[in-house]
Amino acid sequence: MSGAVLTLAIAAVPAFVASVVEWVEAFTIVLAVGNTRGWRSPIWGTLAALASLAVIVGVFGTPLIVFHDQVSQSFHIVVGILLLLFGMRWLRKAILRFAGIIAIHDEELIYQREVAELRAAGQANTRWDNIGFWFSYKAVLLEGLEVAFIVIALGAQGGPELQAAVIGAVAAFVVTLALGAMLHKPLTIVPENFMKFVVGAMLTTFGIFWGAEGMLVKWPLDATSLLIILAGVCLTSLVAVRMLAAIAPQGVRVAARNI
Amino acid sequence: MKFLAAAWEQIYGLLVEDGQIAIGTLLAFIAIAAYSYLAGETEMRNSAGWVLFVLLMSLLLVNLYTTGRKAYAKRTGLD
Repeated sequence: MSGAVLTLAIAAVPAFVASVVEWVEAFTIVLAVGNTRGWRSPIWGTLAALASLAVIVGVFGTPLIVFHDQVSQSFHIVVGILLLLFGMRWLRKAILRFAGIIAIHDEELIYQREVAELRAAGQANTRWDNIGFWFSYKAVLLEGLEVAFIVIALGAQGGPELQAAVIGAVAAFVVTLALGAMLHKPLTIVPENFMKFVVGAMLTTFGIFWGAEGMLVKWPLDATSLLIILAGVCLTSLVAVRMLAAIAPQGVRVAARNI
Repeated sequence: MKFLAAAWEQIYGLLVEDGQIAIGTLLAFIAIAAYSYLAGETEMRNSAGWVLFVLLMSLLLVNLYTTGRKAYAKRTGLD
């Protein structure tokens, strides 16, 4: 595999898939604001949140690249642990959803809930709608923080990787926006749980690989070991889904926050 | 203030959703650090990555098993 393709596979693909999941969630809220209170304020709220996120990635991402060589080893450990914590969390949740233990994330239901809340807040009397602005700003910034974290963690290996991760996240934003503008409804067609599983499996794989490298472990097949670890993670997930299906054959579908 | 609390909750929630998984992951890393330190500059050190993989996948399976049992017991009123 050539270096450029590997960089793209390691940084851009997971950044793209993970960002689509987050942008879809933010889009649902912005759409609810736009449809109930008008589009002027939520558009400005979204732009302000994106600018804030660019600053966050710049402030935290730049030193990581500049001082990368000096702190390379400890850095691998830190990034490995962060990726593992994040990846295992998504992997666990996706497996529980596949097995029917927790309920599937429902964008339509969230949209209806947001619309009801925004209607209850009443209409703005002026052209500028503070509620619309802050609702959108908060939604895009909070979901975007997860995107920023993923971009920084995946891009922490160096300049080209950070660039590839940023491209992946920006491409996800454009795709989500285009799809949303076309459909003009919550993006329930996006297979959110499957994408969460893919990202969880990939981040867990990278976390194990980089974390061990940080402890000066040499993988026998170098980067090819990534594919073996990924296959192992997928196999374990399959075993886990079967195991959970045996425990609760009909599923229990409790809300995610109750588990 | 409410917004800062929400931001912190979001960042913390990014990494920690289930305490067992979070603490178990950190403990697996500490175990591997000790293992590779004790192994020194030998071939054994290079197996530490696979040990980490096995520890984490076991942690995931145990955690999911416990969670599944608990959720099922709660739903059926057996707890």
